[in-house]
Amino acid sequence: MKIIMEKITKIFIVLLLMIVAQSCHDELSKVTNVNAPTIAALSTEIGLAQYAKGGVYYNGFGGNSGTGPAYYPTLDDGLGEGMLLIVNGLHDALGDLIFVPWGNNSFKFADNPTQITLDDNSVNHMPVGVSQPYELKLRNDRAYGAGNIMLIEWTYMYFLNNACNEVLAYVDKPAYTGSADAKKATLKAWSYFWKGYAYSRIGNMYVAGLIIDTPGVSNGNYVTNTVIITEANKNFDLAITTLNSITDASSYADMMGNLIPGQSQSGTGGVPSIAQFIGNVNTLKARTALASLRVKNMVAADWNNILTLANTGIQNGDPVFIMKTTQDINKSYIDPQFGWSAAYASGSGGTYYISERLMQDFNVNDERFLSNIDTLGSPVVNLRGRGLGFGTRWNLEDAGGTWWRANNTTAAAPYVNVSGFGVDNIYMAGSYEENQLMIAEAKINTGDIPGGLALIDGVRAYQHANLPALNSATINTVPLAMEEIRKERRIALLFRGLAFYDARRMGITDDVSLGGGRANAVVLSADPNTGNTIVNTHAFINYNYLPYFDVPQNELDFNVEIGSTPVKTTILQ
Amino acid sequence: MKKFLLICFSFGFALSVWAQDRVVTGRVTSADDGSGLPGVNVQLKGTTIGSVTDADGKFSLSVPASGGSLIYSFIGLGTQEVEIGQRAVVDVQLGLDIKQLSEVVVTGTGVPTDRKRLAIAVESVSGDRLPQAPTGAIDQALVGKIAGAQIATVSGNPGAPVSIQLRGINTLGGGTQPLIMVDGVEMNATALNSLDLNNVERVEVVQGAAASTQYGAQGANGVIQIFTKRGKSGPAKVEASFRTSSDQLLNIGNVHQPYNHSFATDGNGNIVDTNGNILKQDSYGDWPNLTWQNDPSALNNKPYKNNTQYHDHVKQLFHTAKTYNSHIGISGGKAGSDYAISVSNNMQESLINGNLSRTNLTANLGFDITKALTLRFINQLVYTDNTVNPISPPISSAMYMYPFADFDYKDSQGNPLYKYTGAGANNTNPNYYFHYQSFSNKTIDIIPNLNLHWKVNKILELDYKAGINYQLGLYGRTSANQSGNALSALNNYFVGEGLNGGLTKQTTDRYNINSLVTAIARIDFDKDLHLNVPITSTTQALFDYRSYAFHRQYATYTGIPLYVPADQINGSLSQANSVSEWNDKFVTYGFLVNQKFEYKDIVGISGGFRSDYSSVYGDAKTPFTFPRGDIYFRLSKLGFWDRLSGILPEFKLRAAAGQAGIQPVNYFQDLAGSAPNHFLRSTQFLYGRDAGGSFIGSVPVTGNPNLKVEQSSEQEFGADLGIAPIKDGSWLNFITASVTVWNRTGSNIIWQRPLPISAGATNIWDNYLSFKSNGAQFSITTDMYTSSAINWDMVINWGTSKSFVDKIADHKDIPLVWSNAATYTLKEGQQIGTIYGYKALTSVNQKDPSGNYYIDQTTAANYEIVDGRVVNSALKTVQFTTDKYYLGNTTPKFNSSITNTITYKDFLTVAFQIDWVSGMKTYNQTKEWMYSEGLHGDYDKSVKFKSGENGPYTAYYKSFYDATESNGTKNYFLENSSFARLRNLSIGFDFAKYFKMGKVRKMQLMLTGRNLVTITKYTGFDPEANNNTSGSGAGTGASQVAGQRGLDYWAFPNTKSYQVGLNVAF
Repeated sequence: MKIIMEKITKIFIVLLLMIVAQSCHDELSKVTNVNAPTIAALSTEIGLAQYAKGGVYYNGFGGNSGTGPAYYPTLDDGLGEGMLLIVNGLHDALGDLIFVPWGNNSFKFADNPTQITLDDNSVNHMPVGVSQPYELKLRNDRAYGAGNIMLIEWTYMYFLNNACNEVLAYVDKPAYTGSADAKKATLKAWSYFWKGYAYSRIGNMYVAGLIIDTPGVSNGNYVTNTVIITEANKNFDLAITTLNSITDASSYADMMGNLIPGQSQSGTGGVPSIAQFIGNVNTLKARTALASLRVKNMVAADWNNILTLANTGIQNGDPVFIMKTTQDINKSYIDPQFGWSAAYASGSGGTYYISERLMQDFNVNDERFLSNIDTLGSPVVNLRGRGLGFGTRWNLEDAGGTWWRANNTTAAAPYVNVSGFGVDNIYMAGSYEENQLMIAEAKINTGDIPGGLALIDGVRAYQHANLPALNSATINTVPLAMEEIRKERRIALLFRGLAFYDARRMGITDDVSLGGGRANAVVLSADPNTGNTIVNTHAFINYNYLPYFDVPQNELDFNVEIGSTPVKTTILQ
Repeated sequence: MKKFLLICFSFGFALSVWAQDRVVTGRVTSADDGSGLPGVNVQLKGTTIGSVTDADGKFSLSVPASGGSLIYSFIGLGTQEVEIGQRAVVDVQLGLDIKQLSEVVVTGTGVPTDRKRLAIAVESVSGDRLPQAPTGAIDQALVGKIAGAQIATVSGNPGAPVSIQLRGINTLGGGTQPLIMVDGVEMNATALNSLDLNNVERVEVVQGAAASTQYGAQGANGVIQIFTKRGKSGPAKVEASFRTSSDQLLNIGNVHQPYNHSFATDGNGNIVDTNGNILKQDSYGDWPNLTWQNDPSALNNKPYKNNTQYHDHVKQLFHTAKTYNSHIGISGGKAGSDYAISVSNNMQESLINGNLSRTNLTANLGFDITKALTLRFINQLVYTDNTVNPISPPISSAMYMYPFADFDYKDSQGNPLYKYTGAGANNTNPNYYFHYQSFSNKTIDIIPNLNLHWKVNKILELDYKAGINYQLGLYGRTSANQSGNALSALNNYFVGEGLNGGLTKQTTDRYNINSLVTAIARIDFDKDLHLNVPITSTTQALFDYRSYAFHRQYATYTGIPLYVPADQINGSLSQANSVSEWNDKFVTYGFLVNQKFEYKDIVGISGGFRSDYSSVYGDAKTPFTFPRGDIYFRLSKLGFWDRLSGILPEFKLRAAAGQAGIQPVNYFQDLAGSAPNHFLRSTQFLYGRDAGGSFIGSVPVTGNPNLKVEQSSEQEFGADLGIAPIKDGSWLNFITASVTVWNRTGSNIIWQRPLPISAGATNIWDNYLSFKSNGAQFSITTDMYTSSAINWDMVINWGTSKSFVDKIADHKDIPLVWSNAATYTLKEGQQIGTIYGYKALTSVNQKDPSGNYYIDQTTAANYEIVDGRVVNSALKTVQFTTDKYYLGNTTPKFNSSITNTITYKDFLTVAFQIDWVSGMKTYNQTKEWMYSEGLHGDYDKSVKFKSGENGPYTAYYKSFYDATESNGTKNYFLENSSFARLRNLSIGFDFAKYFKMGKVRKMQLMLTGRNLVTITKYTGFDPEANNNTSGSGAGTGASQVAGQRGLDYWAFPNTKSYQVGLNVAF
């Protein structure tokens, strides 16, 4: 009797539990993530457009400053994140427009020259470590985390490429309003353009790369950077062809208006017409070609190609692709205070510092200098004992210096307005000045020196430098004119992440044994006895920087190479 | 004692009663405090005639007309046999049977079980054995009390959680935090350190899967269960205590900045700036740049003088703090009901800035609805108001500023400066933060808990427990408008949202619901089934439902009008805002079926399984099943043991095996801080806003629909012993010992498996690794000395464990890099906690792994050995390998603790606890950072070279930081941090007992010292302080770091405390 009772009770309990369990079961599947959209969003017109925008501005270029959440925790080394902050900062530091003495992201090795010879002929080696190539290759290892600076640009650009691949994969799924063909073509052209951009940057920074056209997957077919540049051009050409196929300009404009964030549609930004977009593509094509070549090796055909492309590139007044900050951090793709390299370089005791070598390239009374630069109360010299390259007497003023504040009605605009949200045009791709200076350089190298100098004057006028016109009577050789190009590109394109390309193609960052280095450089040193700052004006800097980065080990560890393309350079020390 | 009985009474026994010839009544009381003991078994010897005492300890029993003896028994108490004789009333007193491993535990067993019959290791400590830590926190009081557990107070910041690791490492993502239960119900939203230590009746701990299968997919890290105090029947009793302490910084290694410097100076020893002028503050108060001479000839031997006096930044940052604790409780009971109500307050000042005030209100109420149906309702309410900066106490910036900079300096307007340009690289002034920024973190926790217990019949019991743990956190940070600060305005320096100030507001509400239905059937084959075999059967069936939710809203406001004081503002006076919201949720439920058979009280065997469903894993459809089984065998109950029983009265062998799991979870950082994310199964996109509307972006870590629960399988083997070494006399009357060895494998450990970056993501969530761990623990309780006046007992707890990476799916190393700190690497076959890095060369002909000399042998003469390391004689730089080697492991070889309690008569008590953590290493990242700019006191120490040069060479010390990789992980900074610590010393004198105050039961003056003495070779502030925990201790889930333990990275040191307290009871 008792046993039966017990059995009944047990059965009853089990039944009860099963009923409760069943009701819970439904509850389990109802637990969903309400915080974020899923991939289903990409099958709608607005969802895909928002992703095509976010894939570029957020995945490709966005980033925090180290105070907010990490976009990509693997890239966060305490300085902050973002193409416009870390990668553009790196390019400008390699080009010695700025210097970054900090260990974060291994900057202090990346922009540390191997050797500096001072006016007194004393030779100063990189104080810690051997040389930039040696130290950066040593750190190309997952064990260094975000301290592997070779990892950074690779990651942003392949994430940008992947986002574009995703858009191309989904472009036929949504039901579109208006002209579906035009909107699809707009999305495609947008994706091809940014894919081309990504390949352009990969091919111009890394010794090898990968061609990936499917979202979420990769392959081990590493190809040389030359092949990557070809792939960049292929995508740029696809963008142009696709744009040329659009017949419904208003549907195009509708879509483009959704692809460019509101804040980026002001200043030099805006929604480009189809022709203006093609101009932007051509400027990028010209840049890609120029950056990939050594000036000394360029032949007339190369220059003519640049000339042709740039002549059909960005025209004065054309909207270009820019980032803008907003006061509301929640609506800004980058930190409104510190999200790009110029912001980090402004203010005394900043994170990035203005280089003496940039300062010496300014012409006297260039209002871009007067507007932006003040002197530090006391110079920074050999910061932390990390190298003589890490010293400066200068300070980039936020929102202009005292001179500008007194003369700001006509003078050149400040390079940076950290707390003036949305004031700065933060260039992501090409700009009018860059395009003009490419034409100028091509002209100079194809026999039209006066024409080239006039374009330099034009850029200076555009930027309110208020300088006298260059004298084509005295600047009458290609080297003399190219020196003006070199200087003007540094000053006019400051903080646009182009300085390393220039320094490399002009041979400056090469080892001295290959003809590299910079003579007559201004370098600060400290008098060992008094502590006084000595301003050396005839120093020689042997940068000896890697011309191309190796493929990051983080990629190679999980994507083993199939072929035999060199994925690392063999330069040692 | 009675406290155990009360619990067990609710599960009580009942025996059939037959009518007899006469009635004997009586009352069973506690030898401890004279209160009535409910639930005591009273049986006529040699018969089945018996009864059970009621809530007041009274019983009534019909017995034969003459003769006979009554046996009074209850698990946990010494059994007494009393002859009835002619008496009609037989009162007895029962005392705690400490010699018989007697105690009842429920954690891990499901069914209340006498420790004698326990087949698993369950550690327990009663509330009166927990030291009254100045923080009044349970987690701190548990340090050293749980054999085998690694519990450490790793931070002295008020509100910071302790680091808890029970038996090795089972997971990487979820941390080592065990499941916390309060009175049988999970508490997940509230931090363990928020509970009131005064209310703790007892804490039970099960440490691994062998014992925690009961808890299924939550149990793999072990379980800590808190039981709150209940009222005892009888008149109301009032207990109150008041304590205050003075807390000082522990600076065991005498960490300080060097007293001398090697800056460029003029002929008079004045530091000069880079313009060659005497260094002095400019019109803003800022310091200009100077030259730090660190060339090979530079000596760190110049005194600070004139304009540049030395300021002791340790003293400027840390101050002596105070804590105050007060508690008052009232408890009592009548037949059929009991109550215990108390209120406590704890107020702690931070050594740096801010303070924490916590108020607890607890009510524990029990009712007998019918004789078979009991109801208990326990509610705890906690209100915490914390003004401490929970994220980043500014230790790093303080230690990073050159000593001539004065934190207390104020500019002409009376404002502190944000930073001093020339005074070092990372040189923000802590006082600027304190001046312009304030924190307010108010938390309300409620922990209600309902228990309904129905004894259906003599076989079946049903039990229902339900609890909701809810926490509301209101966090605010106010950053004043700093544009009135001249230097800040000049350079756009600010803390918080911007120069014009701002507000951060965050509301977090989280809860967990736990609902458990348990059915227990007990069958005695002899009595119930009349099978005439001495076998009992216990069957447990359980349904366990859990639901967790986390919700946070976050907003920032920027720009605060200058005319409004910072403490009188809210967002409505501010200009812009950004908002974000996050919801996390998961639901899980499971069944447990467990069957146990026992043969007499000699052998017991049990087996069962738990099956869990969850919204987190198995695609929310597939359950995971965790089996278990255990066995005990009391050899001392067998006949052959009689010869041994004099010296070894109790000897039990036990073995258990089981599985448990850990739910897949990730803690991520967003603008508002850390938040849990259980949605790892599906790939989510990022949704953001811009000036044009919204955007969608890809996230770098991909979801994985095939994710499985993390599983831990464990076997443990143990023995429980009762030893009576010396029969007569006062010394060593009795020793109880418990020893356990265990081993475990953790499989399906979840980690972000790296992907080729070119595929557009960095990682995917995956069941990526497996771990193995093993360890041993023992606990010995000894009656050292017993006499009529003196009672001395000693408890020794000891434990060791090691965890290894067994397999990594793709066999690749996993470097764990955490913001510029030491490199921990997980490698197959290697112990977790292993640090890799560079070794200082110890000989000039040392070779690298490929057989090449580290030092070009033609230049060998340029080097010499200094302090056992190769140093370049000319450059004064120490040479390190350029390859990374195994440097060591941060896991301690063992943790141990000895507690002695000595009482003299009933009025004087002396107790002390010594903790010894042996074989532990800590990576002293703090020291490495202080080496970077000549800011560590070591720079003052002379070094001798063979050339005869002898002095504090700056380049020598700097090279430890710079060599091979600046701030790279180096063996020099991996230090032995083993320590022995006088954790607690208390002396209590009870005036009430001494002066026999009658109604005043207790008036005890307690003098307590905490962390008074530490013996260690560690050169940092505190060998116990490190970054084993992250976050601010909000919630119990997120705060334990699993893979990177033993890192001192600006860790907040503990305090040395002197406490005086008064405990009163009447």
